[in-house]
Amino acid sequence: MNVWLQIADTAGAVLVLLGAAISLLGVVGMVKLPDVLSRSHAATKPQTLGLLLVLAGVALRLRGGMDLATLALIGFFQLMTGPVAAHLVARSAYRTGQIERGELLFDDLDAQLTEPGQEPGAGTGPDAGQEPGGGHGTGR
Amino acid sequence: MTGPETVDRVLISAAVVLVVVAGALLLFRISRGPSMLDRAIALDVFAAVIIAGLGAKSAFARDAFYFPIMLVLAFLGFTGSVGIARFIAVRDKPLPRRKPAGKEGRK
Repeated sequence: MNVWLQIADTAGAVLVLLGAAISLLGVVGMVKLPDVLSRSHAATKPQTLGLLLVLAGVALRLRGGMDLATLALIGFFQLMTGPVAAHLVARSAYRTGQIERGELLFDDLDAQLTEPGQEPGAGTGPDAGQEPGGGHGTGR
Repeated sequence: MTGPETVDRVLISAAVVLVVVAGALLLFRISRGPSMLDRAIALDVFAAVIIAGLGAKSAFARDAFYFPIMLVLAFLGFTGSVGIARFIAVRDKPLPRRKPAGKEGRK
């Protein structure tokens, strides 16, 4: 066998192992971190970097044109849909009050969500009905 | 079987072991996530871990048979967490975790 093909095979196996290790690190972070926002932060690592490394390793071992195109498409879809899910989960976590407010250093969104007239507890703001469950109005 | 192929087999087997351990930890998190949002994130990561496991299998066997499954998982894996975050989590609040002092302190 050509020696360069063998080198590409071994490099692909190393990349697969590296991607699996990064996925495991991100999952350990998901188990150990205390909050929805920090867990979502840790969840992004296996989804993007670990998965891209695994796909690069597979691409180094299967060297066909159609396989490379499919792998690139998988990576592209994962890169496209990951931030959407993370953004929606973080937004929902903020609005339903499931975050630790004592742990936040800065909260730039809070001043915008609690404009005068939409104070928590008032409940009679113009868009109080737009937000099911009340969002910031349920914190007592 | 030559020497470098044995090295490849050992490396990919170790990768499969790591992926299985990651899946077990994710099942733990799905089982006792305090809220639905934690389970949503864990399910999203679980789809990524399944894709990584299928990729390790494909790299082991040099087989492109599972690539369409990986494609569908990458394309549709986020819909579960988006649906939960958008429509279910607002009805499923486990406990009000805001501290009263925090609310009063921020004007």
